[in-house]
Amino acid sequence: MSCVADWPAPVKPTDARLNITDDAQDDALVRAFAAGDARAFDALYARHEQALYRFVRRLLGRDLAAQADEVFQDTWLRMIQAAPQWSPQGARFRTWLFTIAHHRAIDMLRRSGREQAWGIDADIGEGGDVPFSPAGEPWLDWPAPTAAAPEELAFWQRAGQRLLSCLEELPLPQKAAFLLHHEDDLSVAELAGALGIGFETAKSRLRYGLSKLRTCMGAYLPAADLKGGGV
Amino acid sequence: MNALPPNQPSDGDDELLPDARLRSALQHAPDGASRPPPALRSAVLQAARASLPPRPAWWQRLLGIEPGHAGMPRLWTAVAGVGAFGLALNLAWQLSKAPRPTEFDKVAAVSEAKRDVAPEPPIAPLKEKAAEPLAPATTSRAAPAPQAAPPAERQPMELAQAPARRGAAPAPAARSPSIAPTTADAPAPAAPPAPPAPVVAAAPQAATTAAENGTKELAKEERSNLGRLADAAPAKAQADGSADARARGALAPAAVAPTGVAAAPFPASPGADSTRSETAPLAAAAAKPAAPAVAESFARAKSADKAVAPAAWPLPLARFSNALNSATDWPPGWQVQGPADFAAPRRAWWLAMLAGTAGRWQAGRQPLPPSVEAGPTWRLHGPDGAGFVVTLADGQAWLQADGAVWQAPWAVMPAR
Repeated sequence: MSCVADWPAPVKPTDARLNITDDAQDDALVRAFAAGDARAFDALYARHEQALYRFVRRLLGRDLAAQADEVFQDTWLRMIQAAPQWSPQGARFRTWLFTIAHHRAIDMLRRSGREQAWGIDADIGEGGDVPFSPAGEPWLDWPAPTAAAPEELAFWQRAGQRLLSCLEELPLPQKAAFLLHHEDDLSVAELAGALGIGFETAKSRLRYGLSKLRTCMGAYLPAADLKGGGV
Repeated sequence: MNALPPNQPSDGDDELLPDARLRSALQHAPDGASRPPPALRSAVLQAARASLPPRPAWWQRLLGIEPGHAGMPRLWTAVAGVGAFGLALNLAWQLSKAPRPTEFDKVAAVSEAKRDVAPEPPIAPLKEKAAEPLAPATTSRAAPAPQAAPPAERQPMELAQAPARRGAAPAPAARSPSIAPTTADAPAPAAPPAPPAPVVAAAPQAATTAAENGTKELAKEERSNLGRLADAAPAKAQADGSADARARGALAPAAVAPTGVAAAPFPASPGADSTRSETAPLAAAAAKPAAPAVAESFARAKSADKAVAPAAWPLPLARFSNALNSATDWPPGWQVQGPADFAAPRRAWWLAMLAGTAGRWQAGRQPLPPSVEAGPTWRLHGPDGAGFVVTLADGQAWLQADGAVWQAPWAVMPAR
C-alpha cells in the first residue's frame, strides 16, 4: 500500500452521460412529444442517444454487437409508442429508457436462444464464482481517478478497455445491474424496481458483478502496470 | 497526483456503492464516444414523426378541427346548436304571433281614422224577422246589374231599400244609418213602384244628411271599395247577370226604377250617395221614368260596374276579422242579432276564417235567391255601428255589406 499516494486521482466525470439530466426537462419533453411536438422528441433523442446506445452495446457485448442497433431502435420505438401513456411516477425518464432497453436486450437474447449461455435466468451465485474477497487484490492499488493529466488519462483509457473485456465475462443480469448502477446511478432499490426483481436479488447481482469486475481488473491490470503505463 | 484512499469495500452495503475506479474506467472506455449510425438515427426520428398525428392546417385550427379526433368539430357543434335554437325560437314566434295586417286592415285603418272624425250612426237593431232586412240589402246590389230585374215578389223590398239608402223616402230616410230596414219599414216605401222623381228629389236631402253626418270622405271610400268588389265578381256571375238582364229587358218600368237606385251602396254607409261621383250618371239614368231608358240604364250600370276599381273586402267585415284576430273570444264591442247559435265563438271564428279568405267568396251584385231570404240571418255590427248580415241557405253563406253580396260554400263552416 505504499504506492497509494502516487496513484492518480479519479478523473472527474466530464461525459454528459453521467451528468444527471434535468429530470423535469425530460418530463416536459416527453409530454410535449406526446402532445404532438416532433421537436421535443428531437431534443429528447439528442439528450439520451449516446448513453443509450453505449448502454445497449455494453449490455450485449461484442458477440451481439450486430443486434445493438436493432435493440437501440426497438427501444426508441417502444418509447414512442408508450410516450402518451408515460407518467413519471417517481422514476426518471432515463431510467425508464434504460429499462426498456434492458428488456429488449433480454428479448433479443431469448429469441437468439442464447439466454442460457448468457445466464439470463441465473440468480444469486450465478456462474459458480466464489464471492469476492477484497483482501490482497491488486485492484485495490489502483490510482484514484481524479486528475486529468495525460498519463493518467491514458491509464484510465486502458482501464476502460480492460473493463469492457471484463464485462464480456459477466452474465447479462449482473452486467445490467452493474451498468445501471454505475452509468445511471441507480440505487439498489431503484435497480430492483427497474429490472423488476427483488431488492435482495438486485443487491446480490450487483455484489457479484462488482466482485467479478474487481477481480478481473486486478488480475489483468496490476497497479504496477497501471502506474508504469504499460499493459 | 492526488492520492486517494483505495476503495475498501466493507462487509456491509458499502461495497455496493458505485466504485469510483470502475466508474472512471467505464467512462474512459473506448466505446464511450460511440454513436448510432446516422441511418439508425434518421429511422428513429422518422418513426417518431410518423407516430404523431398530422398537424392541422391553419384553417383547421381556426375552426377547431383536429385531424385525429372523430366527430363534429367544436365550432360546427356550436354553430349547429345556435342555428337549431334560432330556428326553434323563430318557429315559436311564428306560431304565437298575431296575424299580420292584411289589405283589409289597411282599409279598416284608413276608414277608422276618418270615422273618428265623423262616427257612423249605429245600425238599427233587428226588430222582428231577421231574414227580411236582407232582401233590400241584397236587391239593392243586385238590381243595377244586368240581371237587375229581381223576382216580382222582391220588388217591394227593392223599392223600399232604395229610398232608405238615399234618404229619399221619409220613413226609410230616417233609418238610413241602419244596414237594412226592418220588416216594418219595408212596406212603406215599397207599396207603389218607386217613381224616379222621388229619387232625384231625394238627392239633395241625402246630401244634406251626409253633410250633417260629416261622412263625405267615408262615403267616397266605401263607394270605391264597393266598386272594386263589384268589379272583382266572377265572370260567371256577370254572364249570368247579363243573361238575366236580357231576359228581364221587358220588365215594367216599375221594376226598372229600383235598378238604377240600387247602384247605390249598402245603407250601412248613410248618405254615401250624396257624395257619389261615379254613380251619379247611374242615378240620373235611373231617374228617367221613360221605359225606353231601361236599356240605356242597364248599359250604363254595366259599364259603370266594369269601370270601377277592383273589388275590396267590405269594411265591416275587415273590422270584424281584425277584431277576431286580436281577440280570443267574441270580439269586444261587436254585437250579433239573430238566432242564438251564431253567437257562439266557434261560429264566429269560422266566420272570421271566411272573412279572412276573401278569395273564397264570390263577390258581386248578385241577387239573393228566394230561399236565402228564408234562411237564418244574423246581423253583426261593431262598436261604430257598421256591420254586415250573414245568411245561411242552400249550403251557402251569404254576406251582405255595403250593398254588396258575397257568397261562399257553407260546407267549410261547421254544421249548424
